[in-house]
Amino acid sequence: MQIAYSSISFEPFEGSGPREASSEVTFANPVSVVGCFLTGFEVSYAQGDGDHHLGNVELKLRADRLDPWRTLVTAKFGLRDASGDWDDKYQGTVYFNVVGD
Amino acid sequence: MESDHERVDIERVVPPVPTVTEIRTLTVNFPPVSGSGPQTASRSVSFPTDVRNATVGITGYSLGFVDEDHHLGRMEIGVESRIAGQVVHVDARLGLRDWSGNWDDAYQGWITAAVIAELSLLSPPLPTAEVSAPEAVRQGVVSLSTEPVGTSPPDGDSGR
Repeated sequence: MQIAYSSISFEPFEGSGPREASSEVTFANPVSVVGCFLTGFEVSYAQGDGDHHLGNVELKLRADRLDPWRTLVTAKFGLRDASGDWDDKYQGTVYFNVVGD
Repeated sequence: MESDHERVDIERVVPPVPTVTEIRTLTVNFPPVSGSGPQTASRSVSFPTDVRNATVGITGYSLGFVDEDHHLGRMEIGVESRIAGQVVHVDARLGLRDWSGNWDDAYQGWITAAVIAELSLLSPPLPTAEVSAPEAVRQGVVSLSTEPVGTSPPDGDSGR
């Protein structure tokens, strides 16, 4: 079993959501199966824009094995209130691990 | 000519270190608090043998303000694992605040997590250079052909 740790950050953004971003992790030895697990997150409305009601927060991880050494992790993240349409700046960081065997 | 059946390659017969993977779940509770954040708390999970490798993942969480709702400014949770012999320590954090004041609204929550641990298995003594081939066979670590040596080589040639 091999374990890799990483994170994906989403800079302050408005106008659409949820957003996706990816990060590639590399194992020292080849693996045939992979899985990723959430180890933490920090999500917020942009502090300069003030706080807002919470309407919805969404977070999802997916791991795609590219080859025996490389795995692409994609995070999907959104934060909004119920007014407007993703009109409040939001940001966050998602922490995860990837387990390969 | 020496037959292959008469040689015991010790390096070849030593198996890799056997391991087993176990998964344990745990819950970390964060009581109501205000004035600081994020809160931190730890839990430990014990295993029957040494932990060779481990990690932890979040399986669920709850966090909220106490008694009344507030705007959301920031929310965060997290878990990290540390290995110490047969124990995996899980350090967790949880925080929730609006952007007014400074963590002045009471919040609480919990995190559930799963620890994935790769454990060493206790194994019988391995043959060393001092252990004769017959002894290795007796211990069940290696097996040799019961066929009489040199009577039936793979190519059908007696070699003599």
